[in-house]
Amino acid sequence: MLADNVSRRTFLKGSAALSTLLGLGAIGSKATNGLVPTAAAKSNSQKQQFFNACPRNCYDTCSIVTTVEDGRITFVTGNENNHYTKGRLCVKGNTYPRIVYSPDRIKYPMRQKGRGSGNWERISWDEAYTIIAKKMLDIKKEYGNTLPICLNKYSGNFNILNYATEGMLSSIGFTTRAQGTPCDPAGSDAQAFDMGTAYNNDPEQFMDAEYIILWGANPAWTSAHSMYFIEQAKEKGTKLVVIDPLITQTASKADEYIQIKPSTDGALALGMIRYIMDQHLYDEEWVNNHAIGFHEFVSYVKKNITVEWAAEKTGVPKPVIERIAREYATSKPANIWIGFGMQRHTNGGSMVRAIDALAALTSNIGKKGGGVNYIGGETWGFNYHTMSFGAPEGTEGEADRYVNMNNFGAQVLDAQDPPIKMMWIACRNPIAQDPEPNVVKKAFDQMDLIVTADLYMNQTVEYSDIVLPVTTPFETVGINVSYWHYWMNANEQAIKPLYETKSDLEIAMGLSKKLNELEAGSCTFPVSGNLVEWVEKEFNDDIRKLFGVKSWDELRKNGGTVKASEKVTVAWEDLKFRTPSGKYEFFSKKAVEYGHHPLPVFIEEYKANNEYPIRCISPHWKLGIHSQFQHIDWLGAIQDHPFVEMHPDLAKKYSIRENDMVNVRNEAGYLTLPAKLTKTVPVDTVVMYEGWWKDVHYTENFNVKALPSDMGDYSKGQRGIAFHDNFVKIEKA
Amino acid sequence: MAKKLGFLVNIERCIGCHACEISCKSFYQLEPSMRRRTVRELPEDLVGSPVRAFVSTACNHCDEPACQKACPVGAYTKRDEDGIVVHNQELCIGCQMCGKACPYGVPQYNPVKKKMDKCSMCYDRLDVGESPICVSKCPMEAIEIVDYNEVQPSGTVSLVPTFADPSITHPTTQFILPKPGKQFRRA
Amino acid sequence: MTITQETVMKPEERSFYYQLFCHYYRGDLLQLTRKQWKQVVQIIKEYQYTSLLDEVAQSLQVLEEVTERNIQTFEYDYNRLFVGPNKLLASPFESSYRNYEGNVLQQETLNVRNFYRYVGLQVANEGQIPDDHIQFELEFILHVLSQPTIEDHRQIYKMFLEKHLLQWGFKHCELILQNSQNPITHAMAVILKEFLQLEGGNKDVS
Ligand code: SF4
Ligand code: SF4
Repeated sequence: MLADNVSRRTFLKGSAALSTLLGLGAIGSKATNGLVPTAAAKSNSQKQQFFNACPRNCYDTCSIVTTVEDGRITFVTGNENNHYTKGRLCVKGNTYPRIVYSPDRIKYPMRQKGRGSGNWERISWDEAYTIIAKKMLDIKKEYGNTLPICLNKYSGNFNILNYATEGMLSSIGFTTRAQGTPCDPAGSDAQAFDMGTAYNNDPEQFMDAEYIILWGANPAWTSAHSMYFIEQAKEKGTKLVVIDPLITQTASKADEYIQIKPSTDGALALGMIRYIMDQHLYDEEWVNNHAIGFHEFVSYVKKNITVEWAAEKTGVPKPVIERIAREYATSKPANIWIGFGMQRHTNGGSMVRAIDALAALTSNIGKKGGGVNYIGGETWGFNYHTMSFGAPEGTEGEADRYVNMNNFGAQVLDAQDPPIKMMWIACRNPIAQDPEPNVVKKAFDQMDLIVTADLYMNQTVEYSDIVLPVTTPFETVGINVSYWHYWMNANEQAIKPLYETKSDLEIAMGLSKKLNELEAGSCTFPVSGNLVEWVEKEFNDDIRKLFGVKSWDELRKNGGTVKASEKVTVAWEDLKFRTPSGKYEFFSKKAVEYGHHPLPVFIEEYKANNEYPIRCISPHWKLGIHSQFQHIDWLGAIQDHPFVEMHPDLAKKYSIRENDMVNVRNEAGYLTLPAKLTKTVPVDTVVMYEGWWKDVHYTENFNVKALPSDMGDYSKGQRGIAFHDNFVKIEKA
Repeated sequence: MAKKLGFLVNIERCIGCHACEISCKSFYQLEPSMRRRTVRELPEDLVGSPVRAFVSTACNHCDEPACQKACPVGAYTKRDEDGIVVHNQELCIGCQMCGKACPYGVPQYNPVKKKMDKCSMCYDRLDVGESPICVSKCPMEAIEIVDYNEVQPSGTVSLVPTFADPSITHPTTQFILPKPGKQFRRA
Repeated sequence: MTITQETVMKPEERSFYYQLFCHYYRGDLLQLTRKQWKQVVQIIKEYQYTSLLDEVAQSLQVLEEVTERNIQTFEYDYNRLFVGPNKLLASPFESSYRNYEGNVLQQETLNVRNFYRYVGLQVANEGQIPDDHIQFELEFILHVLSQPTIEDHRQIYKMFLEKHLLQWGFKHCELILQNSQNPITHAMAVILKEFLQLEGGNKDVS
């Protein structure tokens, strides 16, 4: 009894003392953010289904059906209403439950004490907004403008509402922007010179093709849903030809595979053209009525190109070139898909122009099932309402300043008057994905503040001052379209956002609110708003007409996905090209304006030097999209480390055996990784797959130099990167 | 007549994407490293000239299941109506005898549940007229369920490299091998 | 001699520890000064039984002697272990240990939620924060212990402890001890481990 009493006294003292010490109410009282009495409404325990959209930088941009039970996702799969997705997702999409519910997501806004130190403290959203807003306003005061604030945002999430980040920064004044894309610029410019813009046929039309050439594209890994249509076409008799320096997964399925020397695809196309001209296999009516500059092109080809030369240049035997040329020219419709990889060369754009010319003179452009298909943007005509608010009144200056995304580090360091002092990074992991990451790091060192919004820890977050936790598609609202297929997908909010995550749009509103609190009128971006209302504002009459759907709400209630009208799914069906002449331009004055030859000519490829004799190609990897997905453990159980592929004959020269560690090195840097010996790569080339950063202290970009491709300035503002003109030496580590 | 259901795996179509494996894993919420279906790389000289080839396999629902013979508590049954080999986790004592007996190493040990686990051909889905997850989720439609008592598809094989000798347990799984294409490789 | 929990720990003492760790996992101790840590140790020391254990005594001493530097890095280490933004080194969510996939908000979480609901409680932001964060599990027990009016409250307490907290608490402490880079997180893990040991009646519950 006595002991009990003593204890009780002690307890009161102890417990009370603890509470007093902490200056807090007792646990369990209403003041805490812990457990509370149950709300009257019980959570919904029946099975529900929601429509979502995969927003990643992927051809396939799938429509998703998400099963939710008790407010949590139990299964994620494809939407059968979408005839391109067909109710099936690629392997990456199947990992979404893990991406949402992994305990390792970024959960709270946090601030790092000492960039790269790993010393993080948790802060509230209000604190985060305050730190960021104050810095922005300080910068504006010190420099008289907001140009020292730089945005680097790109392709991690293509939900149309995610342009809110750009919109929010435009709403404070003029800022510096990472411009361009590492992806498709050279090819997009080429098609813009030839046809006015890049515009592809509906990939479901592979089924209508008589003949398919996949030119440097590997859809088996990067567009599984297209690969289905290609395989189906093949099974019903369409011939599938794959032209690639590597025996890719796609090439493994070809009726005929042609191994070409890298960066000589233009020569092959021109060789085929020469043969087609000599044999009069081209469509005279078409080139006369729908094109300009054909005669100039004929004289260039007759004067400069022979099939023998093309055979020599490309390594493809003359009879093969002739046969493929004949088959292609005589099959109608014949379909060419140009992969992005093919144009990541210093002569990439001119090579795409040559392939375009091949499709044009055989009149395969404007035909259902045909086309010279690269990328398209016909379905992207939204309002981009999030970007419509404009700079605050009295803002100095006229326009944003651009730095080249593809030489980001160096250009940020070079920027003067004013210098760049603050960086906002969203939907991107530049330290892993940019060439010359060490230069990017140097640029980061010069910043006063680096803010990164992301889902998971990565190299860029590691090097940031503030990290903002963002939502997955399942926790927010949106609308998505593809740069390849012709569907529009609604994204509903399926579950509550976990932890304290917010979408880029909510972050934009929150920051604007804080900016306006601190300095009224300093940001024109709305400070509040309902996400569904925001998404409805993206619809306009053109979109309604194109898709035959009135609103986002109607879309979500009717299967979550809808295909654009037939009219746009055949590129250039009306043969009204968007060039200055309105015709297909073999001869392009626009090209001349941008410093190129007016005709699709062959430009010599970038060559190896003696010190670094081996070409190193870094294509996309099947278990990831850029730096996304690859770190998810479900996929790690399939492949848990990066590797370098090399031909056994090359390996032998360096006494390298399977799984030996290999140093891959050049002027830019080096990395060490295990060898995988395979005859699917040529003898003079090694292959490392792009985007691997988990559990290693490097990325494949460690030895990629910021070497530009030949085109890009016209349609994208900046040239692309010649990722595949990368030369290295190797040695056993 | 009773059915004899088995997988028909079309290697010619398969692109080794692992979607079958992961969709199954996701649907059944298995541990990260556990699989009821796995996709394995085949030797690259499978058809002569080098290619990237994969095969997707799960339980083979054998005619003479070694797992069933080895199980000391009778946790395995072969369904009379369709031949699906079902493992009853309630009865399973986790002794792992079946895993050792199966020439394909199909039954896997779940260290959390302390029980074995294997593919059931999604019989509960089949029973209500839906196809198994792997069949309905493969982007290439490379996996089918065939009633081999009804049809005997031509040109299939029951042995592929890395796959155990079918004479031991008479697996029902059959495969369509890839057809070699032409290749022009640089010297 | 086997000491059972009944003989060792008075209810008050037990409640105090739940309260202490609940505060700890809510982040309330992150701001404490050296002096305040000394006070915390004083309060703990009033309860004799745990301080009799060698390891705990040592840890208490560590806490008494923390340096400014230790206090500075405490929050960083705490976040590395339990908060992020990195891959968590000692996840505070039950389901990371018990779900087959290590996912949060899974069936295991719902089982925990059912306990809360049974006594009329729920997590304030249900559906946003996994219900099986250790902070809530501790708070739940504290609540049950302090509400003798709840029918079967002792049974609920015992069941929850056995079915949940004790099922993963040790593994959690182990991970902290493996990954801790700071004497405070280390000491707190030792104390928690010993406390759970007592709660488990010194049985080998793992
Ligand atoms: S999902 Fe289909 S294509 Fe992909 S690995 Fe499995 S069987 Fe092959
Ligand atoms: S594959 Fe193995 S587990 Fe499946 S039925 Fe045959 S022996 Fe049994």
